[in-house]
Amino acid sequence: MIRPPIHRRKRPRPWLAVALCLAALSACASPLRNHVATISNAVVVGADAGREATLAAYCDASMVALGRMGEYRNGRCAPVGPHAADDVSDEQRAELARVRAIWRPALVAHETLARSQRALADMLAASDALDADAALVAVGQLVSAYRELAAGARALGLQLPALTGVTQ
Amino acid sequence: MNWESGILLVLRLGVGIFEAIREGMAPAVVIKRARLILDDVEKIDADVDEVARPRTAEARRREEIEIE
Repeated sequence: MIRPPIHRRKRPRPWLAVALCLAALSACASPLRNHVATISNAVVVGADAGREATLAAYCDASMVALGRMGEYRNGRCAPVGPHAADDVSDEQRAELARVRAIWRPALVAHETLARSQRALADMLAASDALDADAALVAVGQLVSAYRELAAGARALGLQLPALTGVTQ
Repeated sequence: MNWESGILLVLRLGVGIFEAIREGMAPAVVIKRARLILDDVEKIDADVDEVARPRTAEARRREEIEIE
């Protein structure tokens, strides 16, 4: 006697779906792009700490020239201290112009650093096929710009932190 | 498929998904921060210029009232 074939219902296999999703994710992710992003993140986090310190010091120096103290918070520079509401004299305005001239090289270095950071960010954002050499050059330019900023800040008596993981 | 290999597969998948998410998010910091650094110096200069701006006695009184 021939038995009729048993039609069993196929059990769902969730692990198979998860494995397929993971395979798709792995296929989409570019390891090179991610490595460059990881390196650049480390550099950017360090550079940002130095940048914030520079901007805070510049804010304070500008306000000191006007006879008050400066507080840099959330990207804004506000006068603080007992003389915050005092009038500003012409001498103080002249002192402010002098301070700005002294700070100019450090601020130019800051701008260079900002441009390098933006260039790297654009490269990473638009990289379906990332050019590894170009990306590494961009990271190198970022490090170099940070060193220029650190040198400019040092000339003003401000010691910026070294970039973690970057050979000096 | 026995239960040991099942557990191993789940662990591997978990690690794989974690790595994929972590690496996928990596460019976020540099891109986000790049947006934040626009015009920082110009903003400071504008804030300081506002403090240095000559004020009439009337304007100063008004500002003091606003602060209070």
